[in-house]
Amino acid sequence: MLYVYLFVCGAMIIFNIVTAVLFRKSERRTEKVSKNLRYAVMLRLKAAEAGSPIDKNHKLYLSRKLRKVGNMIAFDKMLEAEYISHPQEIRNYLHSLDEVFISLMAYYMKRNRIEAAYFPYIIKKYRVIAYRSFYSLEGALLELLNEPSIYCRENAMQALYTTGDVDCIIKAIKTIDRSDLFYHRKLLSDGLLNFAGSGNTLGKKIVENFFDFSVGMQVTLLDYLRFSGSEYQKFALSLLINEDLNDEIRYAAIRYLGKYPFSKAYEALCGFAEENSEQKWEYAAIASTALGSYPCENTVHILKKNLYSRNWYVRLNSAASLKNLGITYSELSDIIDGNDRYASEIIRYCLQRDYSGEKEAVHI
Amino acid sequence: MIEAIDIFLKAVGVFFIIYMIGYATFLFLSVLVGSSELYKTHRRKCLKNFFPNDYFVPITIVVPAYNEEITVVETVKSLLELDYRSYEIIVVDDGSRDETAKKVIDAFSMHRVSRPIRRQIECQPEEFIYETRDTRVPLTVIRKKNGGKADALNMGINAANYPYFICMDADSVLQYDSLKNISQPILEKPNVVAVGGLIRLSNDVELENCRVKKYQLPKNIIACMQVLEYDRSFLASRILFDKFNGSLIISGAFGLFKKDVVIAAGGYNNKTMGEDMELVVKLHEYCTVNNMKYTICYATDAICWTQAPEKLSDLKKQRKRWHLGLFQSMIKHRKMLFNPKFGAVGYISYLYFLIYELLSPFIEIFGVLTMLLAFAMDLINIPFMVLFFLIYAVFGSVLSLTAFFSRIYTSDLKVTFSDAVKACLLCVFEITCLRFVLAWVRATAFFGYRKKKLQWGRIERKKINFK
Repeated sequence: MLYVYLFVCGAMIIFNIVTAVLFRKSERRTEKVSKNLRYAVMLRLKAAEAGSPIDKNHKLYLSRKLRKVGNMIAFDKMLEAEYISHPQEIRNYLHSLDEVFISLMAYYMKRNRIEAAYFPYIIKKYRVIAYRSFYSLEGALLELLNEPSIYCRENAMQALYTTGDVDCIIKAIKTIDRSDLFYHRKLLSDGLLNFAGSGNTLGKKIVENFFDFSVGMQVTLLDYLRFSGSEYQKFALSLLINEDLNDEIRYAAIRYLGKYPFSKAYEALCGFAEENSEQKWEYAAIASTALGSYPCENTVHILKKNLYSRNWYVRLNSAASLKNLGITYSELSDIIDGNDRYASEIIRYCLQRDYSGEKEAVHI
Repeated sequence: MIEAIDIFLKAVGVFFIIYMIGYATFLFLSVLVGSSELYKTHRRKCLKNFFPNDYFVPITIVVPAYNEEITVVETVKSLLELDYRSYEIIVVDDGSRDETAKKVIDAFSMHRVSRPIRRQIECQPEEFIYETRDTRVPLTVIRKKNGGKADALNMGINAANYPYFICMDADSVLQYDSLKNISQPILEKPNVVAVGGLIRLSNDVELENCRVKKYQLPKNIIACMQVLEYDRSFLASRILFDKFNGSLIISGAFGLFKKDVVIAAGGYNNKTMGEDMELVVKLHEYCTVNNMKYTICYATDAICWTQAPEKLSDLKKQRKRWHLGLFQSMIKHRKMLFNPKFGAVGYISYLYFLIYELLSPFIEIFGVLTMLLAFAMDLINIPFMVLFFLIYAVFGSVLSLTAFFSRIYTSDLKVTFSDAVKACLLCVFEITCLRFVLAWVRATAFFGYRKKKLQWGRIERKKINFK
C-alpha cells in the first residue's frame, strides 16, 4: 500500500512538471503560429488589393491548419490585432473564405463541446455571416441550439443575431422553446437586443407568432419587447384584458404598459391597482408601479388609497409612483401625519429618497 | 495485561489503516477532480465558453461589520469599482464600539433616511439608516443593535432590494470580475439557490482597482502555510462535492444566495458560530424536505481576497470558531446522516465532515497518544513508523503542491522561483507541524465556548493594500 502512495506521489510530481512546461510552451506556440498566419494573410490582403482573388491553396491551407483549436486561437489573435488597422480588408477577406468556414463548422461540430462552442464565437466576432444569406452555416448554428452545453447554444445564438435574418431568429427561438434544455430567460430577452437586423420587423414577427410559444417564452419575449420599443401597446393591452391568459403574461403586459403609457389601458390598470384580494396582490403591486406613468387626479387618489394596503409591495410601489408623479410633502400631509404608521413611514421614506427622475420599484 | 494492550494496539492499527486509506484516497480523488476542473474552466475561458454579453442578475452585496473602522471604507471603495452594473451595497454596522458606520457615512457624504424595513427574518432593530445615490451604485448603511454576524446578515437580507444577495466580510476585497463570475451559474443551470466563490489570501498581494497587480506568497510563514492549506481544502471539500450537489460549506467571506429561498428557510441562524455552514446545510434540508429541485454550486473563477491571520493566537481563535460552528451545524442537522432522502449529501458529504473534519482532531490526538503508549511498552516498529510518517508527509505535501500549482497556472498568476521553493518547503512543515497544532486547537475548542457563543470573531486587522 505504501508503495502505491509513493507511486501516486511520483505521478503527481510528473503531472505538475509536465503541466508547467506545457503551459509555457503553449503560449510561445500560439505566438509563433499567429506570426506565420499573419504573414500568410497579409500576403493575400496585398494580392486582394491588386485585384486577385484568394487562391485555392490558401483556402486549403486554412481549412487544414485551423482544424487545430490552438491554431484557431492564434488565428483569432492575429485577426483581432489586424482588424484594428484594416477592418474593411479583413471583413472582405473573411467573406471570401466561405468554403473554409463551412468545412471547419462541420469539423468543429464533431469536436468536444468546449471546442464546438468556440467556432460560433469566431463567426459572431468577425460577423462572418452578417447581412447575407449563408444557409449552410445558419443551419449548423441552429443545430447547435440542441447541444447540452449552454455555451454552444449561447454562442450559436450570438452568431445568429449577427445575420439580421428575422425568420432565422424566429426559428431559433422556436428551437429553444421546444427544447428541454435550460436556457435562462435573461439570455434571450437581453440577447435579442443584439439582433443586427430591424428590431421593428423582429418585434412584429414575434407578435405574429406569439401564441405559438410556451408561457415562459411568451413572458421572455414580452420582456424583450419592453426593452425594444413602444410599438406594441395595443398588443400588450389585448393580453392585459384577456382573462384566459396566465398571470405572468399579464404581469409582463402591465409592466410594458407602465413603461409605454397608453391611454386606452388606463382603466384596466386602475382596476388592477385597486385589486383588494390577497391572492391577487401582485396585480395591485405591479399596476401601482405602472400608474406612476399616468399622471392625473384619479391616479393620485388610487395610489394614496394603496398606501394603506396590507401588502408591503403595494404600499412601497404606490409610494414610489407618487414620488415619481411629483406629489409634494404637503399634498400628502394627511397620510404622513395620519394614524397609519406603515403608510406614513413608506411615503416619508420615498419622499426623502433622491430618485433623480429615475423610476424605481422593488423587484418582486 | 500486555496481551490486552497488544490486542488494543492492533485494533487501533487496523482502524488507523482504514482511516488513513480513506483520507488519502479522498484527498487524492479530490485533488485530481479539482485540478482537472480548474484546467477545464481555464480551457473554457480560453475558448470563449462564457457569456459574451453583459447579462446582469441584480445583486445586493451585504457587508456585515463590527469594529471595522480600519478597513470598511476601503472595502466599500473596492466594491464600487466592480465590473458589474446591477448591484447595490448594504453595510450593516452591528452596534460597533468604534466609528465603523460614521467612517462610511462621512467618506461617501451619505444622508439619513427614515426607511422602513420589512422584517421577513428576525433580527435586532435598526438604530439609524443612511443612504446615498451619488455613488456608482446605491449605497446604504444600517446601524443596528448588536446581535452578532448572523443577525447583521439577516438585517441586510431584510433590507435587500434585489432577488440575489452576496454575503462578504468587511475586511475582504472582491476581484473586479467576481460578481460577473459568481452570477454565471445562475444563467448556466436551473434552480441555483447558492453559489460559493473562491477565497484567496491577500496578505502581501498588491491589488489595484480590484485587480491583482503583483502576486506573491505572504512573507509571514503562518499566512503562507494557510495559502497552501486553503488551496488544498478548496479542491477537497468544494469542487469534488460540487460534482454531486453535495457542498456543505460556502464561505461567509464570499457567497451568493437566492433571497426568497433563504428567507423561506429562515435566514441565518444567530445562535450558531458557523452561520455560513449552517445556512448551506439548512438550504439542503429545506429544499429536500419541501421536494424542491435545487443546485448549490461553486464558481471557481469568482475570487474574493481576504486577510489571513498572521499570528498563531489569531489563527487559533479563528479555527476554534470554525470548529465550534461545524459542531453546531452538524448536531443541528444530524438527521441528514445516512438519510436516503438526502442522497449523496447524507451518505458522503455529511459523513466526510463528521469523520474527517469534526472528529479528525480527536482521532489524530488519540493516534499520537497511542503511539506514545506503544513506544513506552516497546511494542512499536520504529523504522516502519518513521517510514509511514514520511510517506504520509510526502503524500500530503505533493497533493498540496498540486493544488497550489493548479490554482496558480489556471489563474494566470505567476510565482517567482523563490516563492515556488518556499511553497515546496512550507507544505511539508504545514502537513507535519501546523496540522497537528491545529488539531489540538480544534480538539480543545469546546473549553469555554458558551462564554463566547455569540461574539464576533476578532483577528488583528490591517489596512487593505488596495489602490
